Amino acid sequence: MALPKRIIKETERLMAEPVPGISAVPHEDNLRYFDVTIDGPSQSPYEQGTFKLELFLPDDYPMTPPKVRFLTKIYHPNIDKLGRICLDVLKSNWSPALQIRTILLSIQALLGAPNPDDPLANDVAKRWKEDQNAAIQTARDWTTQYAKK
Amino acid sequence: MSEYDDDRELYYLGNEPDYAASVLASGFRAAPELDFAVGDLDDFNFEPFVTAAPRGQTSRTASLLQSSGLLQVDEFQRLVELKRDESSESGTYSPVGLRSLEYVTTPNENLICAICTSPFIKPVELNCQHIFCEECLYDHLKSGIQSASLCPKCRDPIESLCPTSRLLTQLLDELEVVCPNEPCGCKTLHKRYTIHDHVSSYCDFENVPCPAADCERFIPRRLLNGECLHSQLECDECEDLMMEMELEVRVLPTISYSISLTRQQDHIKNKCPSGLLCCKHCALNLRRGDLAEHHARDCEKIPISCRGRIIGCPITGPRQFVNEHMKTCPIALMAPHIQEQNERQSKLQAETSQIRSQLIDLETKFDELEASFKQLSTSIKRERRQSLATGGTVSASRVEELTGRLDELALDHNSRIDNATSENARMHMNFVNESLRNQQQFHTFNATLTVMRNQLNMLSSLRATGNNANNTTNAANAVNAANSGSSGIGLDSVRREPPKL
Repeated sequence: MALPKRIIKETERLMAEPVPGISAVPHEDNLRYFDVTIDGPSQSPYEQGTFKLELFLPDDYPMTPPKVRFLTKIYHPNIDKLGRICLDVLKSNWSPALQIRTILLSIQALLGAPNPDDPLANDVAKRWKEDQNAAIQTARDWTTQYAKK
Repeated sequence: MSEYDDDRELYYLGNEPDYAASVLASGFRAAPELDFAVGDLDDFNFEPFVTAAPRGQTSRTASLLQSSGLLQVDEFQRLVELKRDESSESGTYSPVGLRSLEYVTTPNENLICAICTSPFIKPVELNCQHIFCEECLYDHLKSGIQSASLCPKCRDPIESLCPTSRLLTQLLDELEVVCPNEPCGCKTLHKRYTIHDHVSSYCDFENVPCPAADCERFIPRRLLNGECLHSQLECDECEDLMMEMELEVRVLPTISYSISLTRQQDHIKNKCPSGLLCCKHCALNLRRGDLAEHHARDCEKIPISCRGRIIGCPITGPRQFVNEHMKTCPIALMAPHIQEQNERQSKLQAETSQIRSQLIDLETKFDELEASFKQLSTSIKRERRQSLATGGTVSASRVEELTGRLDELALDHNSRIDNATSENARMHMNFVNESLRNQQQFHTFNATLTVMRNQLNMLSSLRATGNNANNTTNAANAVNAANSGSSGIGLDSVRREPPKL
């Protein structure tokens, strides 16, 4: 199946004008599969960390959202231990007007603003609610341990 | 506008009255103020852009979609589906995929569809006034995700759709695109609404079905001349099989497409060294490149003449026959020697003529010298007479000087004359010697030839008189007698060693 023009355009733009703190590089053998890295936002427990993700564009993209998953271990109430992300724009709130770059920006924003009220990793969310400082400290430790630049 | 209404009426009455009724029942209402979008522009051959398909049913449906003013979402979906079915059933050949077009300049961002990120194709406007391509919106509505019923941009519920303003359509039409056959060589740029016409009717690089009835392949329009060019050929230029239509491109990669097809046919029929030709003498099939060698060496049937032709053997005929003849022909055996002799003679002649021209050159120089000497001596005499007449104004020393110079000149002149004379004599001697030698050789050769002729005569008489032994002895005696009677050279000596020519 030929690659839709939109994907080619998006890839070209990601290469030509990358978003600061985010990189997305397609695999040579499969241009729908991207290796992504996101820098942890400053003033968040993920600061100084670089997180690896994988992003896959399904056949009916952009009518359906891309599939994104964290590869680096991360302590976050909306990201489970398999790296799956609980983010509305990746599920019910997807719109074909969104793009790879906007999705990755949303994920970066999610790192800066964890939402324990809509959890995916229940234990993390519970701890985040009960003892936020300890949870943030764990998140910092994990960042140092697994996401060190 | 009226044409448009007719169309719609026809459609309702003729094709799908039930559907029409259902549309009307579900609150369909026309929006006449927006009704012009397509119908008016039909006159400008606008249709290909709107429908990307030939006129007919499909266009009528598309027009309906564009013109029906406010449409409910489900009506819209049904119409798009209807149109898709029709175009797939009629198998319309649509060469241009508008989505894959390359735009010459980056279009204004307001003309870009947020879903496909390309300039709108058949734009439709939602109730929230956001605009998307018809196809993109249809795909979105059909995607089955939770937000499929919301506007992709503002997430307002999609309730109805309507055609976009004429201004937008015109802006889109004006966009300049690169011909989709650009990779094949078409370097033309077109307004987007004319690209379909260009590709389907004019583009020289567009592949069109082969004109041959039994051939299902395609051929670039520029090579179209009513013949099938898909036959396999072998060409020496590239040593492998190729199609006739490829030849132009592969042999001359930079060829301009304006060069007509005849050139490539000419190559195949008259020039290509790999083309098979039939030898007209032996009916053998050969490559054109090998034919000359075949004629010169191998062909058994080509007429040639005996090698002895230069000294009078009249035999000519096919190579096979003449080769047999030459094995027995004495003239043919002699021919190489005679040819060698002839060559040497012509070489000598050339040398002689060269020497002669040199001699003539020297003589003219000599004459010139003599003339100048005479002139000089008369002038000196005149001067002396003048000096005497003027009463010795010229001093004795001057006279002496002049006399000395005169003597010098005379000496020089004499030596030159001597040189020239001796050179002349030498040349003459050379020439005479050379001529004598030639004459001698010629005589010798003549004698040899006579002997050979005699032998030949004798042999033929022998053959004529039969083969019995007595006759042979008689003939031998006769030959001996003839030898002793003829010139100084005997037959035996001729047989043992060839005469020194």
